[in-house]
Amino acid sequence: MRRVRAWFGRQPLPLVIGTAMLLPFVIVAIVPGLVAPHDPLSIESLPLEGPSGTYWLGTDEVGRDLLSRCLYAARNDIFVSLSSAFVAFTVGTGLGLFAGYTGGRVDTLVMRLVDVLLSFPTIVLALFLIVVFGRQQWVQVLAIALVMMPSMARFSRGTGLVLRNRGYVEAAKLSGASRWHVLRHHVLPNSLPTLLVAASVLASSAVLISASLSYLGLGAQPPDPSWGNMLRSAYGVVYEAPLYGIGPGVCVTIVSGAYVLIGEGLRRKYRTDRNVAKGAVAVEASVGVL
Amino acid sequence: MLGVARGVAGQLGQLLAVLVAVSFLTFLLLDALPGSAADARIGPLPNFSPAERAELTASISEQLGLDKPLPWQYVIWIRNALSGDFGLTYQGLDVSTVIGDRLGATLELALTSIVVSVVGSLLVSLLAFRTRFRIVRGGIQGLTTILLVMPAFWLGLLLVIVFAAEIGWLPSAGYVPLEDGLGANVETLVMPALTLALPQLALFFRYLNAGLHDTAGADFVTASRARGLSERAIAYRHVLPNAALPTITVVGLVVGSLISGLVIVESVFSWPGLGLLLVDSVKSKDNNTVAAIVLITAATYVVVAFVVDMLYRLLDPRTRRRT
Repeated sequence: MRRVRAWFGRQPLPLVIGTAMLLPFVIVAIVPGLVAPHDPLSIESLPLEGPSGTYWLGTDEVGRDLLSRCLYAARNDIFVSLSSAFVAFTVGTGLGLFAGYTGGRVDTLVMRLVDVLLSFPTIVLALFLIVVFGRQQWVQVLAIALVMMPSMARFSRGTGLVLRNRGYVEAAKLSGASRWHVLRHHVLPNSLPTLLVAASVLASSAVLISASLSYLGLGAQPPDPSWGNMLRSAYGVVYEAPLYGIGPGVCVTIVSGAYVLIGEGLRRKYRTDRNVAKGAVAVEASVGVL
Repeated sequence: MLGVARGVAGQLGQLLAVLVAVSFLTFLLLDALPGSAADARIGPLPNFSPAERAELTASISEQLGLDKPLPWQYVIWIRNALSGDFGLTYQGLDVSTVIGDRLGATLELALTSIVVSVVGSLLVSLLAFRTRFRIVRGGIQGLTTILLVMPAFWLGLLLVIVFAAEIGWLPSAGYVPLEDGLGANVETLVMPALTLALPQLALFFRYLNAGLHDTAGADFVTASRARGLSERAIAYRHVLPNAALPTITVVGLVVGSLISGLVIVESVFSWPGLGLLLVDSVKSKDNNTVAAIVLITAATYVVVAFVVDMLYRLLDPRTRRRT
């Protein structure tokens, strides 16, 4: 126990706070039934009741418990944001490092493709993909991943370009290592800390994009709760129940803020320089302000 | 001089190549829509009788070259699009007319929000830079960080709760055109514009702030101070222009992808612009309209990025030498 505490004490503060903010949501996302006081889909009481001892956040427009719905919504939102950030990170990093390290025509080709994908505004491309491929959850995950992937590729390409000229890469190449070996054992491990900083920014954007899609009615479908579609209902009854939207809004903000803090913590932990942090912010800027 | 011209020409060539690729990708996605090409491209046209519909479908299929190979279909599509013909909507109206009707409202909202966020971020970052009170600086930094991680539609909801539901100063949604009175128009504009502008302001602030602090330590600042210039003159005449330069790129990125924010904000406040039209068209599977908006917004992004790049070269002599 003391060792655990000592380990925590050595971590940068933002990393600790960010993890502490995110962890409860991850646990709730895995086992919402253990925490939620009521069934999120059953009609428990009168509609639009204010907060009370039984229903801590009140009830929604048909009388379901808002707190339980908020907690169950974590399952959808955390899953979609984490898996799309993971896909975007893996594909984007793979493409970017490969292009940056290989250089030449491959690099030009990959980066032009990235330019083309970047030209589509985030939400617009995601909406288009949902029109074409349907409203299933996996389409959402892939659509969000695809709109974030190009910024990640561009960012990791820069890292690949830098590492290409490092001494240990040269040494590995001279001793006859294959391109794949160099990428896998030298370029990837050495760029991972930097890339993780960008990945946490990506995860933060993924939360916002996924919440936006369900807010627009194109994400999780009712009656399944998601923070986005709860906020949508909150708008409809803003005069009758102004407090309705506070819970889901706070949840989205905490989760997306937690990722940003984790990113900042990782940056301090690995002492990446400020230019890297700027690059990570550029990832955010190119995803767009939501 | 010739080098510069050649550089610009090369950039223009790249711009064209990206535009072609973007439009081709849009067309491929339009073509990948489920159902037959004719159904996807023409729509159910509910306002026409079955006989009229069959006739119209046949003639439009002929015009679109739907029996010809894909690249040829693309050429027809892009040629029509360039002359402003994006086909018919779900209801059988001209897509370009429908989009044209929405353009005014969108531009009003977009321009207001950009002006507010650019001017606001300049004021706020100068305040944070020049203030003697740490609490002001910390407060601004905390607030902008929160603005960046909270979703825009929640910010909008909070504004509606305060200004529409509790105080009742402003209408919670809707749009009054400028012709129907300036006061009513501005009343409907305030909350959507703020919802769009505040997160942008936070993003610009972050860049400006970093720029200001980077520039403040530069040698020419120390030199100006040694020459006896006032702190005020140094801040406004030397630090700010140098710090603002990199921010231009970010402003360009945001302007180019403004439609993403507009989609959300217009749906929140029922603002009848392009963003709301896009969401409605997505829901009613109005494919031609969706494709037209995707193409227009992507092309806007490419052109804005190009213009910003050129502007940057014009403003910063250091980047010119490299070409």
